[in-house]
Amino acid sequence: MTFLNRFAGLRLYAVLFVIFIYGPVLLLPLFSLDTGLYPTFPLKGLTLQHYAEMAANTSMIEALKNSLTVAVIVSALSTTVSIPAALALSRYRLPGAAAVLGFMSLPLLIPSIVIAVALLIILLKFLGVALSLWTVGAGHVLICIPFCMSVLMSRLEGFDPSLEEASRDLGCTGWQTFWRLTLPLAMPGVISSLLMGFVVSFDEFVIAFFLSGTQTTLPIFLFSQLRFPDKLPGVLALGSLILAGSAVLVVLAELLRRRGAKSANPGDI
Amino acid sequence: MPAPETTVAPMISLRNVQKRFGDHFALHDISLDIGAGEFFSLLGPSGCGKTTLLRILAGIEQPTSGSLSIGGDAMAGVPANRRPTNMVFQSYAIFPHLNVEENIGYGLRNMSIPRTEAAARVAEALALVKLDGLGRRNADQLSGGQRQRVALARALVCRPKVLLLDEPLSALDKNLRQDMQSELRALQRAVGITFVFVTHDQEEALAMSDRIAVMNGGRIEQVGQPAEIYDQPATAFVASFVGTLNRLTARVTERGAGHLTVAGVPLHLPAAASGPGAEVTLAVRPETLRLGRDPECDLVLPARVVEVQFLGSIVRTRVDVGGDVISLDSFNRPGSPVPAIGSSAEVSLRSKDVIVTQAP
Ligand SMILES: Nc1ncnc2c1ncn2[C@@H]1O[C@H](COP(=O)(O)OP(=O)(O)O)[C@@H](O)[C@H]1O
Ligand SMILES: [Mg+2]
Repeated sequence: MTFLNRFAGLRLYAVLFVIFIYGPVLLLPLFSLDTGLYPTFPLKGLTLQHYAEMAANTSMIEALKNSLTVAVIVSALSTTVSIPAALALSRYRLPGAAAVLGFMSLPLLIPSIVIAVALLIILLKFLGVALSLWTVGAGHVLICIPFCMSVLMSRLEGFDPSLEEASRDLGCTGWQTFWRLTLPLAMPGVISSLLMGFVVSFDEFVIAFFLSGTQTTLPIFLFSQLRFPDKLPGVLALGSLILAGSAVLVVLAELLRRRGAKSANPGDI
Repeated sequence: MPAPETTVAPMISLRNVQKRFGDHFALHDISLDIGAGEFFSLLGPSGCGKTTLLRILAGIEQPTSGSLSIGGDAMAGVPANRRPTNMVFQSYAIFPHLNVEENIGYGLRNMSIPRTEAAARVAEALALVKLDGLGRRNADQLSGGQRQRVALARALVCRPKVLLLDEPLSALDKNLRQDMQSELRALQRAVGITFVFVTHDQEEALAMSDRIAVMNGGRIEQVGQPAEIYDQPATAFVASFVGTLNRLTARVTERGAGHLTVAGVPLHLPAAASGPGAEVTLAVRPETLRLGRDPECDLVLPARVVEVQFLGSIVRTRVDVGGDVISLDSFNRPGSPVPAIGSSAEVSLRSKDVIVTQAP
């Protein structure tokens, strides 16, 4: 077999791979523009009517707002609490740091249904808190922190430690060094962490399902709408918009990451 | 030119400083005075504790025991950001998110200096290190030599009492390094600040310093002016680390201490105090040896030529003297004969140039 043959085979594989991953997702915007009520081929006609319906569906818009609010607060909160922890773990040889790191990544491994049930019991039985968007947010912070920590730590560990020493040597206190040096250098990581927290929370279903009260988040709302076939096109329209929004976010994050990578090796000569 | 003597209050004074990492001693009992305005070098092989000592001076590392004062003030409990020292790091530690000007002005922002004055001082520092016009450059667009200059300007602009430099020239290529040696020395004279300069390169230390402390295994072996260190090494380590050194084995004769034979030739050296029959190691610098019989020398040893190396203006000949192979240097004069390998020869030297070290 020649190199060229193998190369052609690889290319075919790559094309199939991309179709497999993105095909189903791309059906969403396609059907959202179809006049038919059921998503089937062939398409019947082109329309923006479903988008108008979606905009008119106040409870869907309400759920979207809830989700956005929770996601923004959760992403800010989990990033803020992760920054000092990531700094401590990457800068100082703390006793038990490995154990802390291990525990920290547990929420990634435990099925979210287990976390959800455990949180439900704690909130209702022990704390006596009424379920609301706040309880959903608290649950989301819990599962977002491992993601935020790993993004931040990989950024912080790349620094030349003498940068912070130089800052101290030039007269900065620890606090000034944080604001003038560490945070600006960690900024690409902080932004990735914010995006990561936002996406994880926005998308989360199981914990939100268990911990939400009368106000629901978007995934829960969409799930409840699937029982009504005539609501489906509106769901598709919203899904397409979210897809477009995520694409923009991903591109932004990638651009930032590249800009960060350029300045990530400060000690190079 | 005499080095500044430290009879006046020294700028830096270290007393019995020790530093331990776990159960490893990086520094044993260092006591040292460095005078105001001195260009002082810490010289020693990699891992001997030079950087650790510099970091203790800067306040980045705390000594395990012992005391330290700078400019007459005790430094115990004074953090790095409040010491009258600034450091040029080995990696230069240029802040990657700031341009050249912002890097240099970094320390001034902590000094409550008016904006216009700070800008003027940055411009002055840029000129001092010959980087005029590069103020707006980004850190990642600088060459190694330029990064080194930025690091130097960033430290000097704060007008410290003491500037600490950790092998600042080791990352530069050879030609640039030699230019920077003289430039740095001239700069130090111009600003008059005490420089503590770390290097593992003995030529660099000899060429630049007022005084040198030779370090080995966390201890200071000798402190002195370059000529003292080179001509009167206090220990066998200093003798072998600074300059090229030839070792000759001698034996004490029945007449006792001070009376030796080398390759069968009798020799009187009062410094060799061992008893009859003992073996003594003699050290000789290549440049104190002459090939052939020289009337100015009181000692002539029989030898056999082993190897001849051309080093440009110098010819280095390696000869076997009584079983020890030693090197000697002579100027490459056109017309002077090159000794043939394997031929027998004579090596002349003055007994006062011989350094006695104890047998290893
Ligand atoms: N932070 C540290 N932790 C443990 N050992 C260290 C640390 N810093 C230095 N050392 C050890 O101390 C010794 C001296 O190191 P250093 O001062 O860097 O030497 P030099 O600068 O002369 O090459 C070395 O053996 C090194 O391994
Ligand atoms: Mg070092």
